[in-house]
Amino acid sequence: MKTIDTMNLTEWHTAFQACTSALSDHIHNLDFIKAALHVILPIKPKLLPKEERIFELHAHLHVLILLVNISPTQALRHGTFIGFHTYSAITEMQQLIDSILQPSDADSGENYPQLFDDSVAFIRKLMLLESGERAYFSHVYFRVWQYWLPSDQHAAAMYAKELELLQVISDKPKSEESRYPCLVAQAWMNSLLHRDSEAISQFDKLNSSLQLRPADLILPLSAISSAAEWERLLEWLIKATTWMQGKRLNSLELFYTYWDQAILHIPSAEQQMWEPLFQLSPSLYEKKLLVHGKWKLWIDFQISMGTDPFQYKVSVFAPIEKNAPELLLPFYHQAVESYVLLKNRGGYKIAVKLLKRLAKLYKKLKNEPRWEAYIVAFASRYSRLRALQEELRKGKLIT
Amino acid sequence: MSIAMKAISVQVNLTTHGDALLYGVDDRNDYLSGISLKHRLFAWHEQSFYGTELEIQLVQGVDLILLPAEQVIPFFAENNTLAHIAWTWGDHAQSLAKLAPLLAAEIQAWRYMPSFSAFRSGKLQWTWDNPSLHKQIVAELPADQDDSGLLDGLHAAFSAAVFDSCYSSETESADLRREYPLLFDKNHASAAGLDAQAWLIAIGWKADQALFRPMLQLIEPQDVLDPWQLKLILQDKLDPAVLVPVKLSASGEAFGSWPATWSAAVQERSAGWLDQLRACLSSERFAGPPEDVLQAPLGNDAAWRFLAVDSPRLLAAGWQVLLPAWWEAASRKKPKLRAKISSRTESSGESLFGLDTLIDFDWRIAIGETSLTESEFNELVDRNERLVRFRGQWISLDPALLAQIRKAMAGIDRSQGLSFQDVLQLHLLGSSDDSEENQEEQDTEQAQRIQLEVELNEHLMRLVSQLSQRSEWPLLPVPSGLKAELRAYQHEGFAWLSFLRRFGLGACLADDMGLGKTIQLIAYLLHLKESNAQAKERSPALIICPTSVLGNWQKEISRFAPMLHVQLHYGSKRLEGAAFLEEIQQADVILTSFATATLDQELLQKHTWAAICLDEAQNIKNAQTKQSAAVRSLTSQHRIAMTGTPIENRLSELWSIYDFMNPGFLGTAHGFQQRFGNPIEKEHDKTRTADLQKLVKPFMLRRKKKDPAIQLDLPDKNEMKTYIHLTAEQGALYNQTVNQLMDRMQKLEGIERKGAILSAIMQLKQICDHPVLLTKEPVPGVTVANEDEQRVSDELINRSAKLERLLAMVRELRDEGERCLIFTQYIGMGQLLQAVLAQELQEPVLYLNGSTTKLARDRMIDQFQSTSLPVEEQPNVFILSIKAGGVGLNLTAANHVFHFDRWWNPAVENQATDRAYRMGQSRDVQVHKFISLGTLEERIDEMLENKQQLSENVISSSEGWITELSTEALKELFTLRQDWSQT
Repeated sequence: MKTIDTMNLTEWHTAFQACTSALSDHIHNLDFIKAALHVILPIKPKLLPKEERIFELHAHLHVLILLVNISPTQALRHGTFIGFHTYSAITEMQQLIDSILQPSDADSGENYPQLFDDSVAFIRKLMLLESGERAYFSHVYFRVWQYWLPSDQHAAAMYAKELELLQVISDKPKSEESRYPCLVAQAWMNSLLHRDSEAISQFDKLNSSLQLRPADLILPLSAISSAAEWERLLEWLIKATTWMQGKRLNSLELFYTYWDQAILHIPSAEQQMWEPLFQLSPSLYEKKLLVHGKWKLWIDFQISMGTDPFQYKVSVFAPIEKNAPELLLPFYHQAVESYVLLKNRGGYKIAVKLLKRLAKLYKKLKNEPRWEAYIVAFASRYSRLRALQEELRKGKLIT
Repeated sequence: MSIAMKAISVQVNLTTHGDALLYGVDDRNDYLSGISLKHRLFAWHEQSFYGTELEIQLVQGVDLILLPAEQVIPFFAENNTLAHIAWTWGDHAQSLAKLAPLLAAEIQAWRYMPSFSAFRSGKLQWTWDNPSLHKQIVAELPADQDDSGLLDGLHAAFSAAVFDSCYSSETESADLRREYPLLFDKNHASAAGLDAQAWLIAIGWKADQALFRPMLQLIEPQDVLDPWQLKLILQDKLDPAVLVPVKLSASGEAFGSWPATWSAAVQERSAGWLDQLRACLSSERFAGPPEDVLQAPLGNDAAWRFLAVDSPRLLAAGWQVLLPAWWEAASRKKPKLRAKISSRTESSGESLFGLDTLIDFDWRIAIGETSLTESEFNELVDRNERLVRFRGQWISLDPALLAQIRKAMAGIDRSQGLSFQDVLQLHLLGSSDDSEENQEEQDTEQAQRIQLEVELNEHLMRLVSQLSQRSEWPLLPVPSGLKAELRAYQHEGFAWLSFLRRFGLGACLADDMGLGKTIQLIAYLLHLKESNAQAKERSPALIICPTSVLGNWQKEISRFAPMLHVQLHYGSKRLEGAAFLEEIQQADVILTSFATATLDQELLQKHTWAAICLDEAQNIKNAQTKQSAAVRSLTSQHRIAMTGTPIENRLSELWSIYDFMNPGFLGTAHGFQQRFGNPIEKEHDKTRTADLQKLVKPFMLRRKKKDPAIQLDLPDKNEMKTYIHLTAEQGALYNQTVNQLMDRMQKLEGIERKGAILSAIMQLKQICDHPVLLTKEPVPGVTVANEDEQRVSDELINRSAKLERLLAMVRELRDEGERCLIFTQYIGMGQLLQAVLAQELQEPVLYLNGSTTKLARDRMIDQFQSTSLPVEEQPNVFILSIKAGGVGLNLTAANHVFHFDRWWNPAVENQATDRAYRMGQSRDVQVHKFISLGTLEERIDEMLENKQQLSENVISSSEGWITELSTEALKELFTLRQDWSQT
């Protein structure tokens, strides 16, 4: 039997398969990962660092393949149900793979072009078989291209070569579903080639014909962001915002963290964020108002909504109280009126609570005369609400 | 794209008052609730507290928000609305939103003017002063509206906004009134004959372009029989001396010779002048010939009417009026009625005067510089004219005032004369008119009230000035019989008492505690005795004082004026009836207590006393009490009240004391309450306070220790002895103890004898302090319920005169905010004092004795010296045992030191005293040594005083020497002097 160092990739996986066959009855859970890795990793002989990482990647990929229950040759069935334990095992596995993919010092030194090409082909194949909402291997594909290029000098040429390959694949008549990964991969290659307009228009097309998976967009964004190319990132973000229409909130949140980064470096970019963001998700918009210190708009938003101040923890107001306390005045004043109009003791108690906050605010603003004028007028206007007067006295707001 | 989460369409209507009524419709064409609209629309509108102060009116099922007029323009100009709402504006709202910023800018630039049409309808309203803007506004408003409702509303809103932004503060509005008084002219006749432009000029809003101004001149008759005349003249604005007389025809044309450049303006305006004058003057003024209507002669009365009534109206209407120069002065001269005291009431200055003495006087009526006798005045009044020429001067006579003067004159029967009291009161209250300004204020306030004044003759003038000026008191020589050195201020006080006596005026000596009121009165009594030596009928003085100070008086008089024969009228053995009357023939001074005086009211009433002196006169502060009534019913030639606190709580107390001193001087109690009590206490009326002070001051001598004049004279440490009698219980216990000791002395010898003596001394001294110390009764703790506590505490106080006196003195000094140290040798006494004082003063009282730990002691000292503790925690009374607290402490916060019982060695006492009297003490220290009369305390005090009799060695710090005394000597030393104890 060949030793690992003389085997090719397919042979590796056959060897992995052999090792893990004993575990075929094992439930696919976190324990399975341990058990599988426990039997696979010992067959690894002494390898060079770079080789070793590639081996590890494949070992893990193999376990992942087992977990998602596909053979490299068999398409993943659409809409397969995955149990909770398996799901968390998959997540765990993805994280392990992610950490293996991260660039490290070991990348320098000897290159193994053949091993790289074979690996890419292996992963591409896995990727292209994927369809539907969930993808397990496409980001592995992207990361490999992003981080594991054997040599920087030939990077552009290699991307171009891969792009050509992908185009050839996509030209073959195939089912709609499997076209998607191929098209995304082409857009990625373009983005890695800095051919942004092509990449964006590919995404655009993809988004209008098929639904774009936000995660697939995030990958090039993260690459641009980690390269600190802010102007380029902003351009992408402005274009990409339109594709976020109807996307799930956590995808939006993730997407807008890239806006946050862009604004951090190009403050004027903020202007372009708000309105589309408001259209996409008023609630995310509201959160971002706080993040970016848009205190007045935040309060404006609350009053327009008719929000009750008690929907928020006091800590939410703390930065506003610190930076622009006067903005809280209308919010509290109006809430006081609304609570008083409830005409019940509970309402009065809350109103008094708010009045105390107001008193503190006016004091902080060094505008006590204004407060005095208000509370005197307030007490006299509602002089007939005896329970309210009682609460006011209890709160020591009037004597 | 926008960030609006919903759309609201707002409709606005302006009322004619300028208020805006708003309602809103949402995207679904539903009416918004008032609250939800106002919270959103006014979310950033600070002025209305973000909409919360705006009213909502429900009209036909729709909530209308009312935005007050003054906020309409600022609000729409600012246009600070929520960004997350898509606002659309209705027609009017849109116009408003467009015009409001322009109008707000006008206000900001102070470009506005008063509206003439509004003024003519009796209102002050502002309008924009910008024709091009006006055009824009008119164009903007919907043309099809035949009623000008929106324009009116806009006017009103603009006006309100101007008021709010430019004249909302009091000073701004006062400035406006001052600068443009005509704007506020209630008499709209002043605008007669003017158009808007002319009116703006007339009120001074716009500068007048004409080179002259029209004026009216009143010309004085040259000859007595000539009439007065009214003339229209034109004055050159550049040269006010140039006056051009003008004739005004009935048709409103002007004739005269003025510079050619004026002509156009004169012709244009003359008709308006006539209209304006007609509006201000009565028709008789235009009775002249048609070519010169104003040339109608005026009689004296008509002239007076023009001067007094018409000319102010013309001035108010913006006309300048030239009047005779004397008028202004003459019009301010109000007649004054004076009672001139006849100079023949010269009496021999020495006689007793009394407030009831009647004084002859004549009436004098003064008008300005002119002074008229009664008959001259009557003659003038009979002429029944308002403007009369008298001695070549014009005098204005107001009939209302004349009537008042006549009434005032009729009110006092001249054949009877004025009482001295009336004269004095008139003079004291009248002397406020020194300052001219003051006078004017009074004039405006009580314009039609005349003041009755009194003009004193030389003699009274001198007396009154002496009364009110300390430097003019005649300084009598100190009576030779006085065995004391009077300090300067005491000498002054004594002289003052004697001076008031000469005029039968009662006196209140209200010096601070410790300044020596007693010695001043003793000097006075001596002076009384000396000056009465020749008199046939001798009459003694009566001193009434609290029981607790009877002994002190007796002692002090015998000490300072041994030649005064003092008779104590007190206790069960006091004399009655004839015996008493006989007794008083012998005496110079009768000494009694308030309680006894009340009991023996009838007896004491039978005699007219040379003087009655009340010590601690606050004892009669409640006029209704029997005691007060009894004391005030006594008759005497002179009355003196002594008190350290003339007013403790209420002004009625002052009345009570004054009513004793000078009956009737402050009126009845009820009248006094009406005139002074209520206005001063409840309304804090300053003029009444000043009036009362003027009335009270001449009869009260009050000097405070803080007076610099006094301080110079006072030694830094002022020691005084306070003599106190024993209560009946104390006396009995004292005698019992002495008798027991004397019995035992027969049998005991040696160390046992010494021990018995020492223990007897201790017992006796304890009895002098308080009987409880001897009887060892349980002293009720502070745990008893409040009411009981008070009763128990009162009982405890009544059983010891020392305690009673101490409490009174501590109260007095606490009222002054001062602090004190109290030394006592007995722990029981210290505890008792602490309990009683804490209870009575309602403040913490410290007690330091031998068992106090070092830590507690230091804390007490810190507390006592503190100036920063809250009032209720600050201790002000510090009780110390002489051994524990006698040395090493620094208690300069106190400036009173009480020695509640005596130590045998003055050095020890002095050391204790020096706790307060040492470095850091900024005030004078008063040392009070308490001595029980008739007891061994007094005996020992005498010995200490007469050191030559006993060598210093004998009186050592211990009591040992006493044990060496013979039984006889002991008996002499210990036996209670019975002469006045209540047995």
